[in-house]
Amino acid sequence: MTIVENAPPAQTEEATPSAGRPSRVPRFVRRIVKADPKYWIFAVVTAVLVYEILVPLVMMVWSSLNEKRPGNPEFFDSESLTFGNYSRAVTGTAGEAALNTAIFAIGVTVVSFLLGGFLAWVVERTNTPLRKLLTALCLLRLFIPGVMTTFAWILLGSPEIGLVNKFFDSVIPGVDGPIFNVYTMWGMIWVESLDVIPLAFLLMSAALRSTDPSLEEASLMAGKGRLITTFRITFPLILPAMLAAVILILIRGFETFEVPALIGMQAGIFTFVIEIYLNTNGVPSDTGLAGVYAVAVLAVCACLIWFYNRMTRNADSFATIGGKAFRPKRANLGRGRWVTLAISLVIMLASVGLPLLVMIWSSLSPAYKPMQPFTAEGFSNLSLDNYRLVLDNPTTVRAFMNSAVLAAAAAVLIVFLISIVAWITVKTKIRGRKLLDHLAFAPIAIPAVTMGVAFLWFYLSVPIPVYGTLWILLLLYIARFTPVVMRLLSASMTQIDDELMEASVITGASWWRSFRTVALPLLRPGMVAGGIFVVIHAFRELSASLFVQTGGNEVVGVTMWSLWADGSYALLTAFGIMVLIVITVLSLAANLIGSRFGIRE
Amino acid sequence: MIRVRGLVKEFPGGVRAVDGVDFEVPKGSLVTLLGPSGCGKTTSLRCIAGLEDPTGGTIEIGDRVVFDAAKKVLLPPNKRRIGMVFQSYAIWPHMTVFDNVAYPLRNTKTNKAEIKDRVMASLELVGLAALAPRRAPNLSGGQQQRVALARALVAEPEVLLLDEPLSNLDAKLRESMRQEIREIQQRLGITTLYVTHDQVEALAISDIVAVMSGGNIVDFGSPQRIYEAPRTRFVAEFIGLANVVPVSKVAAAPSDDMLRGVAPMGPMTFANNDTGQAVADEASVLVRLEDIELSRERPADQDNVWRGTVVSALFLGTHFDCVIEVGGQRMRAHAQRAAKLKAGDEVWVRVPAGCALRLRDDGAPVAAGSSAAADADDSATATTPLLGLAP
Repeated sequence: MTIVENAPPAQTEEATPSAGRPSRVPRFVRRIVKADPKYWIFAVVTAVLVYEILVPLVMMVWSSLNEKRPGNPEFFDSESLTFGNYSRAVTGTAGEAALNTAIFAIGVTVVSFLLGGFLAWVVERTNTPLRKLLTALCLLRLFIPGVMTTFAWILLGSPEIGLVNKFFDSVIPGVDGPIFNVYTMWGMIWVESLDVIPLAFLLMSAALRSTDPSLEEASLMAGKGRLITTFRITFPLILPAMLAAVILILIRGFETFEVPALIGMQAGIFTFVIEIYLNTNGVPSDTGLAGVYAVAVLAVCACLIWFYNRMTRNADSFATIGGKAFRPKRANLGRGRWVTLAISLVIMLASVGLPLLVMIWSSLSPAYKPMQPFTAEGFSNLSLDNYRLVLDNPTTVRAFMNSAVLAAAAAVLIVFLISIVAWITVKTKIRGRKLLDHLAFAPIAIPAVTMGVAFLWFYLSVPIPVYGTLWILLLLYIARFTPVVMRLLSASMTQIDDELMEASVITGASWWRSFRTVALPLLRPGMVAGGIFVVIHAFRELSASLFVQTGGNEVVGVTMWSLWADGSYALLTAFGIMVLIVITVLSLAANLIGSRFGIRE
Repeated sequence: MIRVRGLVKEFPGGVRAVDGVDFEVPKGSLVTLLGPSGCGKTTSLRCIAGLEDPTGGTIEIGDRVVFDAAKKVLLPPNKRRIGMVFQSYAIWPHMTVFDNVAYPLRNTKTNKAEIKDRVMASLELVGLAALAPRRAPNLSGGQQQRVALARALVAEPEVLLLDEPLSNLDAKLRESMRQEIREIQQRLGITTLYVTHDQVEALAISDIVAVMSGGNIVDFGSPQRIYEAPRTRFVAEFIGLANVVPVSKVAAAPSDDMLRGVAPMGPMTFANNDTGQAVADEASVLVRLEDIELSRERPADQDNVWRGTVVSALFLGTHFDCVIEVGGQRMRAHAQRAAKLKAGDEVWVRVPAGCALRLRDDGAPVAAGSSAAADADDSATATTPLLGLAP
């Protein structure tokens, strides 16, 4: 069907393919030029996403099948293709790494899901006091960079210097020697779980909040008790959301970098992610082997995402996900609510309180003695010297500036790009929009490390001069944070009633005017949320930046990593606290702006 | 004027929501598309608006062809010069009332003073001028409805489309709003197509009612004609309250357009509404509830009088809604408040022969001829509706 711009009867002739007047311009060119601008936008946006996401991935797979390194002139020769890297990996350490990765990821999922799910239940469904505080602490935990919390738990749980161990050693009689060793698989699982608890908490409380309480009330009316209702009604209702949460946490376990790097490498427990890191940044590097591991992690995560998509699609058939905000009934726990409060506080103490306390203490301690004990003498040694050092150090200052610019630029570009993508996929009927949807969401399955390696190799082998500049980091961040923003924005786009847009088009407004004056303003809350997400995460991004960052282009995350690697622990903690403050202030400010200019409904 | 011919809309999966619809909205009149949900009425409206791409047929608005499947003409909705009121009102929550109404004018190069004048005039028309600076979400349902109407009318569109505009309002407000919409429509003389599933609303507001079922128009005529002489059993039962009595051994009664037969209650005389159809042995006969006369004494008249027993009588304020069993046939009837009927009472039931009408049993689409003929005597509109434009 041809789209005709003005069609009084006389003009309709022109649109008829057979009756066109002779013209030198080919028909398909005229058709393209005359096409609705949304097709142009569709084409451009698709091209951008393909370039950003598909191309580096293809490069990575190519590299895993190649005996030459990226950058080598023969790299693109098909003759250098081989399965040699794969057989080397299988006969080498792949088996052990696979086992470690699986135990680690599954362990983290079990522990963090149980603890995070418990917190969600306490906050959403019981009358436990201080629920708001628990939520706030969970959110605060999201702002703390992973390197910091991991390092804090090293300070707390290492066998020799760990403060927890020292505490139990000295205070409780009969305990001799360390009771907790962070340099074990269990130690790794514990530290990573504490990092994932907020994610589990947020996913589960969203699921619990969106359950229609009348479904449970109906069961109570039918004469079933609370317990039976919980198992027969509540659990089945939130099961899809629960499984989706489990999958997201599993992916996190597979791709996480900080804990395996800071603790695992020390303990001699190597996961896939560490193998990728060592084979890329170690000496001698082995890009073929790194490629194999990267492909392996990618394959696992892609399978999980496939399950996730199935799960969330089926979730529609359950009555749980309503747009309405329900007010579920809270269980009255009686005196038991003090028990749930105590357990929750202990979890939050381990997850937020202790690490933060240790970081602050350490950041104020003398640089030569970052792990000094909590004694009167220790208190007298405290000073702001480390903070001064951070502010005087050109590298850390540059990292702050670079990360701020990158985070802001990435946030603006992603939100702009994805609001168009969300509009195309949700509100238009352009053929191929599903493809765009998948393309924008696909990077969720690409582990950060894999993506970093892919970008490194791609820009080393093609003559696009971005390696060694901030641009490569910007391109990387755009690819990395696109999927979450996609989910956020397509969700808010779905909530905008179709008729609001149709009402605009009907008045004679062009699609562009409709998009600009109706869709964008209504989308603003989602855009602010997406922007905050990108800023918080891009500002302290480590595991992907690690591969493409070069001297002079330091970013916050990698600088923290380097400080740790150099043993500048006091500087690291002071720097980390400052990063935390910046992120918290940024997101509070963004939230304020968002609520000021967002729609009040 | 809107002229729709052979309109077909097939959704992916082969579902034909609209299956060859023909009708015309004469200039300046209000036509209602009436039908149960899923009958294709909203899809037809959205095809005319350009919000759905039809599969076949033609659509003309004014003197412009906006859609023609054969000639591959498809005018996008923003070029069709239409005013539309949506079911959800679609008032933009991020704008003031004024900005909402001014929006259509800002597409054109209208200067500020004129925009202000026209927006205020339009708001005046719906009685909301005082609320112009309000933010849209702070309006009540009825006020949003008026803003939507003002916005649809402000650019003086060629036609006005209303998609179930009153379905989200409460009953009292619905009544006053439908009167107001009708008044404004007549004052402006704007060609209007109105979609609703509420038969009372359709009867009250329209010049012409088009009853739709299964993607087809099954009856088309003035409200009174549609109510009093529905073409099919479906229309009869959908509009108003109806008893449909099966009658056998049908034969022509003394006069030409009357028939006689045997109903479960006994012998029955009724009007042959559908003169175009040959007289068959069996017929379905429509008796409206309010046409049934109940009395405790035997009426003087001999025709269509039977004795029955009251099964139930519900008091509805203005009248009793009764179910009466007559010779094995249950009939619903309205009884006067003064009758004070209760279950078990014996009553005489009388149906004036002219009020009992033979119906067609099938739901075939309206064809040319028969319904135009049925309309000819009582259609209030100047233009005879254009029907059945099949070649």
